[in-house]
Amino acid sequence: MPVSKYFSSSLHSVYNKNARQYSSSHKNTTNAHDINDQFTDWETLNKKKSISKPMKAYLERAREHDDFMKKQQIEYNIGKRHLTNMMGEDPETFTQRDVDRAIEYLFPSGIYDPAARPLMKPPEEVFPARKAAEFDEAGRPHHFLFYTGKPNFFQLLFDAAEHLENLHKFEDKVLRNKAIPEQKSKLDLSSGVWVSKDQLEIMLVETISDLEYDNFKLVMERLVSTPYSYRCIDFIEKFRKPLASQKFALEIPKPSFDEEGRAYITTYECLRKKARGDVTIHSPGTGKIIINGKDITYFEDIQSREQVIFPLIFTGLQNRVDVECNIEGGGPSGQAGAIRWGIAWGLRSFVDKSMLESMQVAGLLTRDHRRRERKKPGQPGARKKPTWKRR
Amino acid sequence: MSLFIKHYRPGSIFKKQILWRLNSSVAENHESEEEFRVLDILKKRDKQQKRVARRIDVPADRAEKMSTDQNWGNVWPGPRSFHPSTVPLPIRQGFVPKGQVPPGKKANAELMKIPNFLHLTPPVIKTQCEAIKKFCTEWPKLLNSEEAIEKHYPVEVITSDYCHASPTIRNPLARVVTLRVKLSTLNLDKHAKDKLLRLVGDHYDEKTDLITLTADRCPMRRQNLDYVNYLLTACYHEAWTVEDWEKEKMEADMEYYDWNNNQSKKNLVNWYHKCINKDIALSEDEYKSFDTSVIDHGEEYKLAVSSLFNDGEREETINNYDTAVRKLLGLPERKPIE
Amino acid sequence: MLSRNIRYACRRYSHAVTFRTTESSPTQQTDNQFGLFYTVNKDLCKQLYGHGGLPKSYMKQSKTFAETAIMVRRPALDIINCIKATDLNKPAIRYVLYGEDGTGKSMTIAHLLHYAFEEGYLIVHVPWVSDWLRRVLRHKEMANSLTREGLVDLPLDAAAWLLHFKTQNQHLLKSPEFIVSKEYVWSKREKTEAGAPLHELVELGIARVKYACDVVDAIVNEVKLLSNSKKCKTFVAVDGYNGFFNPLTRLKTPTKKKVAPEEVTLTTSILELTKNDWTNAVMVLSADSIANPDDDTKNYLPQHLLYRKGFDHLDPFVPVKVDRYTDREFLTCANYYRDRLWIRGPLDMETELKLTSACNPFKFMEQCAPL
Repeated sequence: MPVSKYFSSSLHSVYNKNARQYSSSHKNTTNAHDINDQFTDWETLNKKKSISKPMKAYLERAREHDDFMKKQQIEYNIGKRHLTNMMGEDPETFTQRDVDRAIEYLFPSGIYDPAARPLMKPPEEVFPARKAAEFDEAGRPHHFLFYTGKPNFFQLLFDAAEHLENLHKFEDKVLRNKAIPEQKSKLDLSSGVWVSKDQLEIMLVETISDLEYDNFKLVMERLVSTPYSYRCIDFIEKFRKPLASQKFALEIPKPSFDEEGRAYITTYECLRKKARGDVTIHSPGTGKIIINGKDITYFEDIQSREQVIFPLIFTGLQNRVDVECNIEGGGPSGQAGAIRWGIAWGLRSFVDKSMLESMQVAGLLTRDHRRRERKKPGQPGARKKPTWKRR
Repeated sequence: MSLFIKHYRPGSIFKKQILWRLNSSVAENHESEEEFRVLDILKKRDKQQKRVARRIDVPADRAEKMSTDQNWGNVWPGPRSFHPSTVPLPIRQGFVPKGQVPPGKKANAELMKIPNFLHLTPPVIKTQCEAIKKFCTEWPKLLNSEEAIEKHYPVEVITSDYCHASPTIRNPLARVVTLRVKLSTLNLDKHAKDKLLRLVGDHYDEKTDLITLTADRCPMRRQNLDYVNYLLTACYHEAWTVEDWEKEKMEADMEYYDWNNNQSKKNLVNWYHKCINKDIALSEDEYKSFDTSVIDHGEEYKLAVSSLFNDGEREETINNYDTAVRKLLGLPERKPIE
Repeated sequence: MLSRNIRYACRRYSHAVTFRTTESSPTQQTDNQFGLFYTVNKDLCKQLYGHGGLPKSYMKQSKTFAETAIMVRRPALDIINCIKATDLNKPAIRYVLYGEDGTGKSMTIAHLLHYAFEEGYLIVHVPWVSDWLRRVLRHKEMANSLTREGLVDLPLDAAAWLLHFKTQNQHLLKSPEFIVSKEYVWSKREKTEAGAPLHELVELGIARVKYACDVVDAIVNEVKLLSNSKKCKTFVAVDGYNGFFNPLTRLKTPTKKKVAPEEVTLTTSILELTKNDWTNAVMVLSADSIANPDDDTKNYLPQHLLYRKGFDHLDPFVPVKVDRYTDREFLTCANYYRDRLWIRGPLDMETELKLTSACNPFKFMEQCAPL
C-alpha cells in the first residue's frame, strides 16, 4: 500500500508541477516542452484557464480605449497646429478660446443652439469620462468596494463615516483631558449648498439614484453637525458650492463721477419680457425720476408707478438719489419691471450689506426671466385646453 | 467557440487561424490550444474563407500627409463645400443627447451644409490685399478729417450687402439705396430752401440737417441709385423755379410767423386805441404799417409772440409771453413758486 | 376719558393749525394763507355752484367730508393780486389758466368765483363748455336758430344756464340799475320794453325755452353795455374755453350733418362776451385738454389747445400756469385727508403716495379713495 500511495503522490506531484508550471506562464511565448506537455495533457488544458474570455475582452477594450484617447489627443494637437497655420497665428500662444474663435470664423453657422455648432475641443472635454480598467488580468478588482457596483460613491460614504468616527474619538479624548480647544463651534455653512446630483455624478464618474443622493446629503449634514467638524473642513469643502450672495460681494461695481462731482452708476441691459433699457442713478439727488425724458407720469397706471418707486422706498433712498432711464420695447408692465430691476441693481453700490441681503430676499435683485409662452397647436392658448369631455 | 488547428508538427511553433469568435477581438494564441480540433477532410473552411469579400484598401487621407507649415491658400483656393479628407482639423458637429459624442467630420452632412470660409483665412486675405494694392492709389492726404470729407464729398450713398447660410447669394434687400445730403451744403436762398423743404417733407431731419432719400422701387441696385440721384436733382431744380401760383401764398401758408401781418398786431393796436379811448377802425395796410414803438412794451410783446410761434410752444416761450403781456397791461410780476 | 377727549381735541387742534385757515374771505387772503384750506359757507356754495362750477369728483368728496374746503394756491392768489392792481377803465384783461390734467384749474375758477362774489361783481359763469357741445344724450334738443340763419340753437342748455346765472346773481339783479337798454321783440305778443329790469328778461328766457338762446345773446349785449357805462363790474369765468375752437362737436343736425362750434349760437354769444372791446370787466378762462379729448398728444400748453383762431381771438392774454402740488401743499392736503379720516395708516404711506401720484392733485385724490 505505501508503494501505491507513493506512486499516487508522485503522480499528483507531477500533476501539480505541471499545473504550477502552466499557471505561472501567462506569456504568449511558449517553449516546445510546454506546448508538448499541454497538448498531450488534455485535462490540464481544460482545467487551467488563466484568463477568461470576457476578462480578456474587457482588458482589450480598456487598452483600446486608452489607445484611442491617445490617438485623439495626437490628432487634436496636430489639428491645432494646422489651425494656427491656417489662421497665421503662433501655435505656442494659441489657447482654447482662440481655437473656438477661429472655428467660428471659419464655419459661421447660424444655428441657435451652441451645442449644435461645430466645435473642436480637446478629447477629454468631448468624450465623457470613463473609468480605467477596474480589475487586473486575474480578475481581481483594484478597488476594495468594486463589488458594490458604485465603488467611488460608497468610498465617499466610507470616508465620511471614517471622519465621523475620528471626530467622535477626538471628542472623547478632549473630554477625558478636560481641555477645550479653540474652535469648538460647528461650521457655519449658511452661505452655500451641497453639490447637486449631476455635479456629483460628474465628480464620481458614476450614475447615482435620487435615493442615494439624498442619503449622501444626510451623511454630510450629520458630519457637519458633529462638534469639532472644522477638522474635516477640507473634505467637506469639496462638496460645497457657494450661494449667489457671496458672488455678489465681488461684483458690485464702483460708481463713477460725472462733471459736477456726483457719483453715478449706470446699469445697462435691463430686460423684462420684451422691454430693454438702461438706468442711471445719481447719488446726491433730490428724488427726481425721469423716464425717456418724461416724469413718472410716463406710466399712467398706478401699478407701474409702484413698481418703479418700490426699490427706492424699500431702501429709503427715495429723496436722496436721482433716477434717469431710457427704455423701449414691451408694454407698461414689462418696462416698469425692467426699470425696477435696473434701479435695484444700481442701488447696490450705494447701500450697505445688510440692506443688500434684505433686497435680495425681497427679490429686487433677481432678473425675471419669464417670457410669453408659445401657443400650441390644437389648444386655444399656451396651457388652456379645449373643454374636457368625459366621453 | 471553435478553433481549428491547421498544421500540427510536433516541436514547432505553428500558425493558428481563428475564423469565428464570440467575444474577443484579437486572435489569441492560448485559446486555440484549448479548443477541440475539428477534423476537416474536405477542407471546407478554406473554401469559406475564399468567399469572404476582400476589403478594398482605402489610401490614407490627404489630410494625414499635410505638413503643419504648408500654404493653406494653395490647398483651398476658392469657395468649396467642406471636404473631410482635405481639411486636417478634427472638427465635430451635431446635437447629441447627454453622454454621447458629437459625430466626427467624416460623412457629416451638417458640416457640409454650413458655409465655410476656409478660402478666406487671414493670411490669404493678406496676400489678396497685397496683390490688389498695386491697382489702388493712396488715400488723399487732405481728406483726413470728417469736416474735410463732408466739404468735398457732401453726398453720402449707403448700400448694403447680405450673406447668409442658404444656397442662394441673392437677397432682395440688397437693392435698397439711401442717399444722405446736408441741406447747408446746397446753397439755397430763402425761397428755394422753403420750397425744397416743402417738397421733401418728412425726409428732412431738423436736428441733423440731413435730407435722406431712400429708393427701393427698382429691382436692381444701379437703377435705384439712378433714381435717387434723379430725385435729388429734380427737387433742387424745382426749388429754384418760381411758379405763377406761388404768388398767391397767403399768411396762413407761411412757414414762419411774421407778426406784422398777423391778427396779433391788430389786437394790440385795437387794444391800444381802446386804452386811449380812440375808436377808429384802421384798414389792413394801416395795421401793417402801424408803428408799435408808440405803445409801451410793444416791442417786447412783439418779440414774445413771434418767438411763441416760430420757436414752438414751450414753457420758456410761454413765460416770456407772460412777462411781456404783464408789462404791457400793467400787471404785477408773476412770483416764482417757492 | 377726559384725558382722551383732551388728547383728541389737542390732536384736532394741532392738525387744524397746520392745514386750515380761518380766513374764509378770499379778499383778505394773502400769502400767509398760502397752502392752507379754507371752508366755504354751505348756502354760498349752493348759490354759487348750484348748477355746476365744481368738478364732479370734488362734489362727491365734499359730500363725504360734509364741508367744502378749497386750498389757497398760487395761481388764484396771483390772479387776485392782478385784479386788485388793474385799472378797470382799461379794456378787459383775460387770464387763461392752463396746466396738466387734474392740477386744479376748475378749482381755481371756483375760488375766484367766490372772490368775485365777495367783491360784488356780476358773475357770468359757464361751468363747462363741453356740456353744451359734446354731452350728447339720446336726443339733444336742438333747433335751428330763428334770428340767425344757418346756426343751431341749444334751447335747453341755454335755459339751464339762465337759471344758473339767476341764482348766482340774485342779489345784484334786484338792484334797480340793471335795466334793459333797448326793446326786444320776441313774437307778436311778447316783447320786452326798454327799461325793463334785467331779471325779467332772464325769467322770460327761463319760461320761454324757445327764445332762450336769443335771450342769452341779449343779456350778453346788455351786460357789456352796463359794464361800459360803469354801472356794474363783471366777472366772466369760462371753464374749458378751448372747446369753442375745436374743429368738431358731437352735435349733428337732424339731417346728420356735423356741426362746428361756430355754428352754435351760444358759442357766438360767449365769444362776443370774451372780446376785449369793453371795460370794467375781468375774464378768467381755462384751457383744458379734457375739453379736446380727441387730441392724444399730452400737450397742455394754451396755444396748442386754443388753436390759431382762439389765440388770435384772445391775444393778448395772461397765461397762468396751474401746477401740481408743491411739497408743502402736498403735506397740507395729506393732513387734511387724515383729519377727515380719509387716509389711515402709517406715515410712510405719504411718501409713497407722493411719488405715485407725482403730486398731481387729482391723482392723489383718486389714489386715496380706496385706502
